[in-house]
Amino acid sequence: MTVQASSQSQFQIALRQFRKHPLAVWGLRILFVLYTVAAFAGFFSPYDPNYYELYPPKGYHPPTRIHFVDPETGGLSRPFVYATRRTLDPVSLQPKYEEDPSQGKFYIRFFVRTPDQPYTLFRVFRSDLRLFGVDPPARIFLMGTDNFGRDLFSRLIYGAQVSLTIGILSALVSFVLGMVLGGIAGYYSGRPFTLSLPLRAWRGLGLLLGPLSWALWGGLGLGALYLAWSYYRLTGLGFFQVLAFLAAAWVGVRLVLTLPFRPIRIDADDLVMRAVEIIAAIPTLFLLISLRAVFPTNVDPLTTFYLVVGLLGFIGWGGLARVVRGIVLSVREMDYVQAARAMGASDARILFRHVLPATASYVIVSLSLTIPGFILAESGLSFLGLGVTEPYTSWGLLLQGAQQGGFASFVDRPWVLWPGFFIFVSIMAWNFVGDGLRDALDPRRRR
Amino acid sequence: MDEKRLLEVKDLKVHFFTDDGVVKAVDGVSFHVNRGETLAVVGESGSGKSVTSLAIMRLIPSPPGRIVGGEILFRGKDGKVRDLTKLSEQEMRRIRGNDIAMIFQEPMTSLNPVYTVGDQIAEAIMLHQGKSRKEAMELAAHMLELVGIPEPRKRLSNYPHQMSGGMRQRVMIAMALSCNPSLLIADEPTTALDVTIQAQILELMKKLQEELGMAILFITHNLGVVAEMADRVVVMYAGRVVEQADVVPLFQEPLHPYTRGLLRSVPRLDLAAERKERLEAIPGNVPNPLYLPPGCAFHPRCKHFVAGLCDAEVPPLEDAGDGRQVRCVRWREIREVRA
Repeated sequence: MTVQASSQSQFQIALRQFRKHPLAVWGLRILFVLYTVAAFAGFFSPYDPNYYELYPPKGYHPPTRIHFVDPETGGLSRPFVYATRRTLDPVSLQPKYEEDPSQGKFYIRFFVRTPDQPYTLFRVFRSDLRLFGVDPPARIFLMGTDNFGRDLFSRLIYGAQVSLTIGILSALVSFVLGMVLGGIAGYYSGRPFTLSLPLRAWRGLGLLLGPLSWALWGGLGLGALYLAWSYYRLTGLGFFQVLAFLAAAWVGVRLVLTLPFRPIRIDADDLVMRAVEIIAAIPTLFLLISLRAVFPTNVDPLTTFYLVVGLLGFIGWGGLARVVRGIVLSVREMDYVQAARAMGASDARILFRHVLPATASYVIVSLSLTIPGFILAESGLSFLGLGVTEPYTSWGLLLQGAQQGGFASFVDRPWVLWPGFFIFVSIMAWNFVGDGLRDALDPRRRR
Repeated sequence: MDEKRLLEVKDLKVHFFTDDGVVKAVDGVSFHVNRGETLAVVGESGSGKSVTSLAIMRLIPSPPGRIVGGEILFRGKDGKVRDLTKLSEQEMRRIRGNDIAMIFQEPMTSLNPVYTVGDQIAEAIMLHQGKSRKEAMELAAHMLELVGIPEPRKRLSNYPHQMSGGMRQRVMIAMALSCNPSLLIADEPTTALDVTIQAQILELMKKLQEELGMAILFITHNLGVVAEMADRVVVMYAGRVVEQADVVPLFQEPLHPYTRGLLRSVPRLDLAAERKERLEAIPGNVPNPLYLPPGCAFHPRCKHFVAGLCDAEVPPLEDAGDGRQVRCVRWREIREVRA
């Protein structure tokens, strides 16, 4: 009687399908490396990301050449580097760096300690052990330096911390918003909530809720009036100002005529979907910048970080909420939902335990496919100077540094474009993983 | 309410307020269920039998539906009689699953595909009896054994798709009975199953009723099942009760023309041999609930129809002796005709 044929769990089947997708597997490997390096940033980076030397300056130092051949013997040698000497190009006045073998060879050493540049892992563990490094005065700049002479490779790794986590965190924020709001919109669609009690319902608990609901709507009406007033104060009287006043007055009159007599009932579905449409109707970058403009720019960098996470999450939940709503609309008519209700389950229990899990495979896929979008959006914001600020760094911020000097940056110091390459790689990796997940979780795409 | 009675529905009215008008799906239905007995509610599709059962559970989709009148008196496990139409949603949730449980027509879709069978039975137990997960699983295994599923402990970790329709209906029954309800509403529980499995499920329900002593409100359009299961029968047509009787008298001597039509439209092996005629059918269709015919809603299809009498007023539900009730102005004459 026992069924042995389908003894594989859903997870095992999905895993097997995922493995058949070589790009997705590679994407996952790349992401694993990227996130590991970002997590242990201090260990993998040879220098502190904000460390630079005043003298001799090292601005726009090209990537250090690593030698494997001993010039004296001509044979293979342990990898070593030379110290460099800085000169100024007499024509362009750009710094030039030349290797200076007279100071001797500096072998690359592994697991070096840098007591002058300690770091903290996960904000807890203090250490100064680094994977590799060279003895001063030589320097090892794997990807060159920026205009201050800070090691771009170290900064890239620290920037990865911000860029890669912002993608995930924003996706999580939008995921929670989209799931909850989309779920409520779909589940309660057609069953409007009563959001104000008329006078005759002011009994019992209504005695408390009634005035509260009136205060809410009154507040909204006054808010509309205040907006119209400030618009007028800012611009003087004109056609649109009159229109704004008329609209506010109309809302007020409607409220006065409605509140005491009829309950105001609003369908959560309408409310949420209209909000989604409003967000979707405004171009993303434009909306992002205007929302960012609402908040002060001179707050501390960590607050900015969370602000960016919140903004990106707030902008991204719409699409997810729409689809979740659609799925919920169909799932809530399922017999097992009715059965759960007949067993005495509450609305919240049904929604979160029986309805929303049906959206899981969609949500997982959509999550992994939206993360690259968020990484890109963060880079865009930081590039425009609205995102993460110094001393934190992100790939977008590093690219902003790259654009200084116009075309010269691409011709004379192409290494400043490395952050762009990493944005590209991480986004491709996430996209491949998302594709693989979609194929793995969708039975119709099984191979 | 009489001590014997578990459920008493009085003049229940459920209306659906649609864009096209008010649909009176249930219009003044009264009946009662005694403790431990099986009451069958019979009727064609659209007669309001399912809506009645949903109304008892207070699961009418609202909007557009609403219970607009009547009482549903129910004696809870604590012995207190409550009017279910007046309970708050929260009080009602405590009754659902715990005092009144329900099984549905479609076993294939009545279980959530993303949880194991054990999880789903245990959920109901934990919800109402405040037991730990371990105890609930233990009880779930016991329930599976009770409904005749082999290797119940192993089956607990099965997903619904690993089971057949009959097995799933057994699981549904186990789930419904896990909190030991005093009333089980079975809304056409065997319609979606094939005939051999139907017989097994009916047998199982009878056996469990003997063991656990719950009353069953059995909703069906299958008269064979009624004869098998019911103690008493309520026949519904177009949202009203047209006849109510114990099962044996009803089958022996149906009083209402509709009931007679229903019984004659069932093929019977014993009669087919002697009478080599075509099976009788009730002509016409169930009327559109938006535009019910005036008077007796059955009159356009009735062969005893008398103009001016049947289409004048809705006939009252009359007592016909022996606890029988019938809603027909001509039931005495019709009885004579047959005799």
